[in-house]
Amino acid sequence: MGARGATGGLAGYVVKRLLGMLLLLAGITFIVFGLMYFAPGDVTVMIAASSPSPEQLAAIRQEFGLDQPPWVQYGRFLRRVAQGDLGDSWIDRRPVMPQVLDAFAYTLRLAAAALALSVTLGTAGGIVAAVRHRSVADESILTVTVLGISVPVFVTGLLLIYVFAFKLGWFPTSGAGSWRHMVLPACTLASFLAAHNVRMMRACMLEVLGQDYVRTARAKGVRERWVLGRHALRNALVPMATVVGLQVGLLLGGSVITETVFSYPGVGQLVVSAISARDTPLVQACVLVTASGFILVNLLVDVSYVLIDPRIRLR
Amino acid sequence: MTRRFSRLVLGVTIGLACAVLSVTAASAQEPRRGGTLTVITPSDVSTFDPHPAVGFSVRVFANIYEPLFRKDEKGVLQGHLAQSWRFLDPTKLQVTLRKGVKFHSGNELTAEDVKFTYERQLNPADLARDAAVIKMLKTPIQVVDRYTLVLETREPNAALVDTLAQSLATLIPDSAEIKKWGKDYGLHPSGTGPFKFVEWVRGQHVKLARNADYWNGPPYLDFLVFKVVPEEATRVLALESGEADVLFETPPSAIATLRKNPKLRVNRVPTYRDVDVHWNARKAPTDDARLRRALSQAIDVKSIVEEVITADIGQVATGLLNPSVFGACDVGFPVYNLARSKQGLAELGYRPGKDGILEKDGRPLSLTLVVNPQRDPRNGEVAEAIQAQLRAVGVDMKVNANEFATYMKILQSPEGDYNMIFHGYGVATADADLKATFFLSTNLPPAGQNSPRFSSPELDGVILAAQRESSKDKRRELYCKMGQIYRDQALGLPLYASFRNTSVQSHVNGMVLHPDEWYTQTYTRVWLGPKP
Repeated sequence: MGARGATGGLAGYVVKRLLGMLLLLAGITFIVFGLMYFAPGDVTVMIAASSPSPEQLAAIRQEFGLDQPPWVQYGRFLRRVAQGDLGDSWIDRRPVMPQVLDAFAYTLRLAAAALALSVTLGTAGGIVAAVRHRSVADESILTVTVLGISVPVFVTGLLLIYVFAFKLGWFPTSGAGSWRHMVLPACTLASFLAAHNVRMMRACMLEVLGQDYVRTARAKGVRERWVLGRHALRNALVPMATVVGLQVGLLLGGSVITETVFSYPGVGQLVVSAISARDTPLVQACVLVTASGFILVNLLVDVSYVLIDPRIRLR
Repeated sequence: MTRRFSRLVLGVTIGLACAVLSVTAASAQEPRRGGTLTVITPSDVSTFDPHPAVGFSVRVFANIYEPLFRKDEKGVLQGHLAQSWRFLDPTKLQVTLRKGVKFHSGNELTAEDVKFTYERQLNPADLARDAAVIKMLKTPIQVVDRYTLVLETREPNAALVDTLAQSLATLIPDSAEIKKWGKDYGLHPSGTGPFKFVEWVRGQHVKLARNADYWNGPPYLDFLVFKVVPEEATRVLALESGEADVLFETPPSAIATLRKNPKLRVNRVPTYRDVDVHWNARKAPTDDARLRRALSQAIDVKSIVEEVITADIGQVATGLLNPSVFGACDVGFPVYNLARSKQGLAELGYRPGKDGILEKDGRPLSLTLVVNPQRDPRNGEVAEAIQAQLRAVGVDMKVNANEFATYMKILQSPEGDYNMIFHGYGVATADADLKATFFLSTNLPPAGQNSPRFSSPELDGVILAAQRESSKDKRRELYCKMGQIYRDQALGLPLYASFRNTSVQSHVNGMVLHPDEWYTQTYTRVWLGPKP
């Protein structure tokens, strides 16, 4: 993850990472283009499904530049991206960027809700489990986390819909638009992430609580709440920040299954439908936006190390 | 054989009548205006421009746009935007439009709109998806006066009016609005239909509002909402929880549960769709008709349909077309005869080899079956059943399951890398011609979807003769002949004629469920009673 050291300014580090990000994104577009190019099936059969004439197929291929060699197609794409234009969808002929940004905004909201829930539950559960090590509370929390990790998200999602939407009628079964629509998908995603976070937090806390400085603090008569909050928790949060950063990346890519179960119009659903339709410009835009989000979040996580632990330096 | 077919047709007719009766039974009360009907759809629309649209868009379009002709739920052809029509000669159809029909924009429908529509679609640069359906029309279209036009075909075409009744290619949008909005017309649709476009929240829903000026009497509903729910289980729960009123296609696994729910009605509706598996007559070893015949006799279609498909989803096919479609004919399918199959394989020189797989000249009898498991319910399981039955006679059948784009690419590829392929088809015009043309030699891949990849002057002659013939009886005979050639050449196995199970809330009244899956389901006469 983050480079650590004693020298180097934070601003210089961020600029360097942002420049690296451009190269990384170019590499990603190349891979996505290659995958879409070699994927069996193409957009022409999606557009002209019932016995198209050869002239019609030729017209489609010409309009989308599919009659050109792959390097020409990719070169044209890069040139457009450099001009800030990711092109139009091959299926609905509308610019792809507004569609992707709309979906990304939905994904961001869901990711934020799921993350807030999973970090809160994960941190609290992990601390309780570590402090009450080998107690009934610890064992119970661990059992619940096993369930959270092992039950597939689509099962969790459908169970939540069945109980809270169908039986109790508290929330809608699917869709988006209000906070009520977000509760069940956020809980579904959070159940899986929180389980991981509890176990991670518990392990980190147990390690930190066994350190000499904690023992020293306790020997000095520092209040337990202070020991946990000031000495243990702060140090245990550094590895947690890494894990949460990765989780944000995952969430930004869109949780395809959760979004599908709840008909949530995020970027995960959009990219899956774009891949099915072989709509390369839309796939490229989805990947570029989510990859940029992922890289930026990782950068923020690295910067956050400094805030959590002032001893860390970035270069 | 004929009696069996008559029974089948009778069964379908009774089924249709029951479906119509069951959904209208609750409408004994007086219809009342108002309310919102929410219909669940598994995928979003791609655009509101009907011509380049893909996927489930068409289910929404039937309420916004209209064709010149329409077939009712009993298959009776009626003029819709066309007031009257007559053939001037076998290649010229004169159509007179209804006067005073307004688009949602306020523009009046004229012959120029129809001319613009068809010419737009027949221009390859416009990439109209269903253009092939109307490719028999000659352009330019001749406009006689403001409300009259003449549609000319290259050859006599007996199914022309049926063809213009049900397809994306036949919906007439507002040409002035298309010219005004250009590329953005897809977000500003204007048709003559009973509902007007209100909003489209991508991936969420489409909302339409009552067209108070609808020429055929405004609808009862204030709003019609199509709610997008991709996940099957969520669709069912959305209906059960009362969030939605209509589930157009009930998943087979949910039918029994929903039937027990007193708040819902599950209507089994005959469709125009049938599902077949075709052999590839151009790829070894299935390029040998004797082998295709022997293999066809090893597949027990009746047991597959009864056990895997079940009576809720389909009935055993006896010919190439769904019995609801004009030209359907019992040509002696299913052809299952295990003893003859084994005998036929032995006569061809196939002998059991390693692992019990039949071999000839040291080469195992190994085949590939291509299937798109998503399109029809239980396609995947049917493929596995075929695989197991062929394995029982010593054939190694590999199942190659693909999502739609890949499946279509294989189907239309010049090389045709399959020995057998699934082909489900809804004959939207309810006339055999639409499906029959698949089997023309001019539609051999990559030009078309002649998936058995078989062509003969005799088969071409029969299909084209049926297309030109104006006598219905003679056309019916010709389509029977087509089915017989298909059977004699062992080009494939018709599996089943599909049913659709549409579930609705019990307070939804006046719904006439149409056998056509795509183009015709409207909600004009639907009204909402008090919720139970």
